[in-house]
Amino acid sequence: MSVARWLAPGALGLVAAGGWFLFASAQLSSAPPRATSGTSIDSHNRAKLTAVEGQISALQVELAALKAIPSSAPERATAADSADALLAAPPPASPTTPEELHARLDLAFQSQVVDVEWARVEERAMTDFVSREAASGKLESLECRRELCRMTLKFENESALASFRSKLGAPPFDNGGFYQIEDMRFTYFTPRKGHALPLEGMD
Amino acid sequence: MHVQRMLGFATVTLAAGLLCTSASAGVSSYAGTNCIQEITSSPSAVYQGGRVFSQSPSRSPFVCPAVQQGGRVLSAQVTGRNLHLTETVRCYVTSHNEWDTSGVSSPTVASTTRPNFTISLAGIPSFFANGSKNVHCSMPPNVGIDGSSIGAYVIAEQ
Repeated sequence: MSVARWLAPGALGLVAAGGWFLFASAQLSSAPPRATSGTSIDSHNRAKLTAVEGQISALQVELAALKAIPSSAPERATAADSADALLAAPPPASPTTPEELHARLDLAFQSQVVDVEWARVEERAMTDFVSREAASGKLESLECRRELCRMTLKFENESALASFRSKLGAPPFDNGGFYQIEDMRFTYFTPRKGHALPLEGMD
Repeated sequence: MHVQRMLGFATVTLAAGLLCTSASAGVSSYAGTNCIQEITSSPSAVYQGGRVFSQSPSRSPFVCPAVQQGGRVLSAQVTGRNLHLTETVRCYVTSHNEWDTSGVSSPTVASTTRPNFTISLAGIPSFFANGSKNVHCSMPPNVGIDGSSIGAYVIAEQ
């Protein structure tokens, strides 16, 4: 769910509430004095006051709900006061961690059966690419299943790794992917052309 | 009555602010001059106006950083000029963590028009707290006096 989707109904609710306040205020100020006893005026005002208090309570609940959105996403530097903090409320979709993504993709990869014909062609293309563009890297593993390939390369230094990474985006590594680097070991998951990484539904 | 009127104005103002923020949140535009040439100790990029020109005689990678201001990338767009007669500009967008030890990238999209091009990139299904976003473009070799250039890029975040 997006922030816009979250905030828009709340904001519309606030507009309605604000409009109601203004309307009620105008009614009170423009209404001619009633020729009734002081007791009935008091009870009329008391009823109005009770209604206003109810509206304020509802607004407070709504504000509290908006503020309660998890604040794990990066905060804006300008969120100095409460109004700014409310406007800078993070998106409902929560951030993720490399470990979580890696585990999820490992699981998806392992659950796939092998499409032998496609996997063989893809693995060949990737192996050729690596031997051409990562001469100093050591290909530790490379395997494709049905809709996903997983590759691990070990580099000797940051420069060699960075140089290889700058080549990604070209075929056969032009379908997007997920990478994780640990101790100069570069693990890469890339989906089959026309398929997305199996990360949907993480929101 | 005064209290009611003030409450009314205050809530309307707050709601208007919320609506404006939600309607425009997460779309960031940058000039091409934010892009830098990657993986070289002798860059051949030229910066002029709002554009970055790739003057290299060989294909060169450029990275265009974006401040993370929201959640996942919903879409991205790169505009520029491709002066190479046969080769294309190729771009993709990434979302990575604060150490750039992990990230997710979109599929690559190549330019289809010349000289002016607009590349529209798909979104990315996840993002990292305290991370950032980059647009990566592979620029074709410069074959004339002027190289191909990136004029601007836009990232829409959730």
